[in-house]
Amino acid sequence: MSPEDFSIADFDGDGHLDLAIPEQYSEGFGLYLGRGDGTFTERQPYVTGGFPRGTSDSECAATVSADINGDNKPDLLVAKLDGTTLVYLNRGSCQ
Amino acid sequence: MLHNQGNLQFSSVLTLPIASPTDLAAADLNRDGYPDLVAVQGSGNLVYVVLNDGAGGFLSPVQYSTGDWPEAIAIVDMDADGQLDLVVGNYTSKTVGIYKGLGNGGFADPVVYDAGTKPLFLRVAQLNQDTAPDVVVVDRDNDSFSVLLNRGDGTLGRRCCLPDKLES
Repeated sequence: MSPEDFSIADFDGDGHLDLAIPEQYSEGFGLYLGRGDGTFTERQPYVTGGFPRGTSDSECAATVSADINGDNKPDLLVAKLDGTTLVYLNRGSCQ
Repeated sequence: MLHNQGNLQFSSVLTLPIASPTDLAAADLNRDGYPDLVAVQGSGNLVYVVLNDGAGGFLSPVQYSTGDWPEAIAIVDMDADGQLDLVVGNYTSKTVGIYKGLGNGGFADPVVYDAGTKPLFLRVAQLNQDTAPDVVVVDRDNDSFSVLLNRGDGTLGRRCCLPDKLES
């Protein structure tokens, strides 16, 4: 497992790969659910907070997807330039 | 390059003659059992292929031209011929180049596709129902991405992307 610039995993468990892309301007990441034909749903924004918006330290720099809590659902770790790492546990419903 | 000595120590540094690489990847390109290296160099508009000599060293890099400012590279068999190919994302020229692997560590001239966005990051994954690997490129300048679907023969077809942001 190594840091990735963005993550590809089946986050919603429908058998299709999804994308989690850290964003420079939203201070968060965008989740895009794959439909299985190469197209994706609209961006679902996840804002991480922290540094004031617009400062470079608030940028999300890298992600890793892995099953952190052993429930067989891929969770997401997001590394930010301010030195924090955020863990997003997958609740399975992709809300 | 650091050689793992097996006791959690590394040997002295072996420096490869590639200045300022923007991305690296490793795989056994010539099927000799040893992993080889590829690197893109944004400032030189080049991809370097560095074959493993099987004795802990590397042969001299072989250069291939790229588009403007390559930022990302992946090694994958795009055309299912059993040989590994190179997928290069050219940031400034907004293109993706596919270099067909010849199986001996050499590569054909690239076939170049419009990426629709500036590929800073590039990954390959199966994103539709066929078994062929597709290409995803992400552009951090405007937080957008494009998907280039593999037609199954290693050529890239329809570009799928999000509405609004990506077609600008």
